[in-house]
Amino acid sequence: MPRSSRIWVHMKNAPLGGLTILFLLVMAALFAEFIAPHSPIDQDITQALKVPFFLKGGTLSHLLGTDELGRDILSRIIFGARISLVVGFIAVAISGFIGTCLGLISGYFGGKIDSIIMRVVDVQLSMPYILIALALIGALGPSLRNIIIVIGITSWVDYGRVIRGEVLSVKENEFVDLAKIAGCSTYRILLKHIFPSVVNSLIVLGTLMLGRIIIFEAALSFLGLGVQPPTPSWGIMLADGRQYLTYAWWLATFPGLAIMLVVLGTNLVGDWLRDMLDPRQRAVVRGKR
Amino acid sequence: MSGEEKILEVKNLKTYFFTNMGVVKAVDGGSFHLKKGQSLGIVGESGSGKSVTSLSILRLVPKPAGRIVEGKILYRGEDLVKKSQKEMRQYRGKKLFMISQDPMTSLNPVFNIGNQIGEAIRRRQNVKGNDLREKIIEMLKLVHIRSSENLIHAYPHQFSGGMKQRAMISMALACQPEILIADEPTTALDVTIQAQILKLMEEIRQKYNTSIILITHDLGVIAKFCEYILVMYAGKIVERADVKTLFKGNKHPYTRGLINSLPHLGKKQQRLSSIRGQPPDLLNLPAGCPFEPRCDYSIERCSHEYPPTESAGKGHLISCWRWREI
Amino acid sequence: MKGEAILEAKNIKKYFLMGKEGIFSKKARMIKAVDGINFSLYKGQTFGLVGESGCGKSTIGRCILRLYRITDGEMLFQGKNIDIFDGKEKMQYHRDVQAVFQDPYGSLNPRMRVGEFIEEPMLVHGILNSRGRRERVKKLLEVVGLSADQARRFPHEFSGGQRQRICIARALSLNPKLLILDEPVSALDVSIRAQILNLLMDLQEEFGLTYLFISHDLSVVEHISDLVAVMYLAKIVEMAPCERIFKNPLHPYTQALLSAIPVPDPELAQEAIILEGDITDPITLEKGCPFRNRCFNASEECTEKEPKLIEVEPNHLVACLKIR
Repeated sequence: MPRSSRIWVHMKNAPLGGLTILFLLVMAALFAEFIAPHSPIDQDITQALKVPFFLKGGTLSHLLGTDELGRDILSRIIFGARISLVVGFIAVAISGFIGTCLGLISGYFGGKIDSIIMRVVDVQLSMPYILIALALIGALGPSLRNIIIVIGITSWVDYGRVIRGEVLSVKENEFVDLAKIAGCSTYRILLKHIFPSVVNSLIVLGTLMLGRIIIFEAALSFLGLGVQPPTPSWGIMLADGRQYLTYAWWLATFPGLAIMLVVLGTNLVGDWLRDMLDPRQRAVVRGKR
Repeated sequence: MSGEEKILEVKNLKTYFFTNMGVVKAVDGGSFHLKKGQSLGIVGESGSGKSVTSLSILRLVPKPAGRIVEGKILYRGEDLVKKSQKEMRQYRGKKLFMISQDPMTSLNPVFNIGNQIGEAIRRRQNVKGNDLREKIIEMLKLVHIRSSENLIHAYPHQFSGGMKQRAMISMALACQPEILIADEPTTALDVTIQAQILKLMEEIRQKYNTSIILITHDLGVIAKFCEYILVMYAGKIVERADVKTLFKGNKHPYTRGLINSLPHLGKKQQRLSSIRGQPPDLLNLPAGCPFEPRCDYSIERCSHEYPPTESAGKGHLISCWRWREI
Repeated sequence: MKGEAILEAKNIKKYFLMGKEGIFSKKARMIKAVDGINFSLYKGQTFGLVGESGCGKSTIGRCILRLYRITDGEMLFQGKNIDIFDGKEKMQYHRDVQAVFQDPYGSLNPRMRVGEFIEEPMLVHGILNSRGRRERVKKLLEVVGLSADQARRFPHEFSGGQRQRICIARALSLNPKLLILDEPVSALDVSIRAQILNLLMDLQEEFGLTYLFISHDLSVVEHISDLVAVMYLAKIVEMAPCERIFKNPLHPYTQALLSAIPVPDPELAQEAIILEGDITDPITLEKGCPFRNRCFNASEECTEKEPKLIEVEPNHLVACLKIR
């Protein structure tokens, strides 16, 4: 069965909703300046707490209403996408890199080094990540750069454990032994034989982690540990909007919806990627043993 | 040895798998029957459809991809294809029993052996307590598991491969099935253990007059154990005959090629004769006879017309255009 | 018949420590996978190593390949002890000794094109340049019966038998002297086995290769081997030229093993010698013959003394107290 046909079969099942959401997210992040109707930080007290356009009294110039300082919610959400995406991708990259390296080493070499790394993982997992974040931000000071670092450092454990598990099973294949008896260096074995077999998990995990990290960033910003005002982050918008929940619900609801949709999108796409990249899909009917 | 009574009749069975990448005709028009107390062998390689045949009889074809699209499976006149899963439960584990290659997946790892055999016994009789315990020990003794007293409390993972299969057979005995289907029961076992298991199965057949369907790729096992044999290739039964005729008087190129390609213990040859080509790709079967690409006797007709089943003697049926010349 | 010995195994022992580390821990169990094996591989010949699961035959293969370090004994390749190789000698050894393993599906890296896979050993050893290697890959593919244009394909496009051919091509790429074949056809369809066996025999003749053929399938071993050794629970119990062992097996285990093999000929109805019980768990055994609990000839002395492998007829070695 040619590879191209298999890929086509999976394309047919692509989650259009999830992909659309992610596409919109990326577009918003890249072209915020051109898409957003207003500046996200311009204040206009006279326009404060305007309702969204579909309620009585709303206008088309502020489709999703305004916040307590008269800033356009829609524009802030669009610019907020940039923050979420930047944090998301960079943190995923950092944690992915650390997690993969340690996972590879841990899984392949086993023994003492595996025990040590796994102990570090256990210790880190036993501490509530909010506490770690608080401590680190306390030391480094709240900023975009710092929350990226913090999130990256705390999230690597998920990668580490998953990759280690994959490595343990890949290691058992005969082709690894064949590489050894061909005289391959350990480095080459890890790079050319072990790593390519775990890449799939990496991609899938990355997509799923993106959603979680975006939530993480929102949480930290909500607590005031992340980006500082007036930079619009969905987390900050949630925090600001909390006090107005009863009579100006749109301040918190729309950013909340944005977060939810993005996470949903990443989960759907991640699931689809996992199915598509799963080599077991190939075993459809090659020959039953 | 076996009577004349036909207890199982399979008529034109077609089991297909509907996958993302096309339809796989795992069993494509198989017909055969099984007599009481007979040992029937189904031999074939990967993709032949032999396992799917047994799953079809037990109505355990994996859903939703797999489905019996046509055919009848008559067990004592009752068509099993028409039964619901609920009705099939009256048959499975009672009149029809299956042993598979990996007993680890058939034995429940969370219950000890005594429990599982006991459950099999209780399906037939209402026994409890000490009576049940005695029956369990009796069952284990029948399969030559000695010191059964202690082993009742053992868990499957504590057993070796051979013992697990014997435990499965003792469960089969407890159910006293009319038909025992053994799908590659000894493939994963060592040769000396295999001999034990085959002997045990033969004892059962003699003692309880159980019909046995033995599915395997091992022609040696087939020769030793089976009275009548079906040879399958790419979902079709290409030849069938009693054991002597199949080995000495076969007429299908596949059967012949297969038997000739085996290294014969005691007869060292210079070079083994082999069947050229690759096993069939069930997603891309040629029109006509599926064996044609590998056949040394093929003619023009073979590539677009599947040959009819013809008789070459008593009980000897073949599907080949050129069997008369072979 | 016997040429020079290119590999000599002298009293090879390989023990595994299972459970807690440290031999002083109560939980540690010592598994004697190989317990005092002696044999030699002669140039251009096939040595068949036969036995059932747990006998240690695969372990020996891995020891020879240096995937395991031997616990005791000497393994000499062309006179040199392979345990004390320095970097350069180690690389040379890899060029001289290669392997084909049992599982054609696990033996190929699913993400590597088969051409790259076959090329890899040459790349690692810096042989030829990029173009030269690619030419050689094409030649190797043809030598094993595949076509050169398949180098760009991925493993999943090939069947089991074809995958084994690819593995054989890779094994040949460095012009080895010795090939360790660990159950090379056991996982293949019956109709394909003959193809691969024929290929292996042709290659042996063409390239003057020496084979260590490890298998549990006696009929295959008989077909391809010159010398055969039968293993049981970490020891060799019988060793002789091929025809001898099959025509006149002396050790009770060998006899039982041969009688248990179902021959694909209904007219040769043999009664198998049924061995009671299972193969004993290979943990530390007490003294005596490891086969005694299943042997139909066993007696008192078999629990006391351990039999040594001795030559009872010319070239025919047996480890049994009853056979002198």
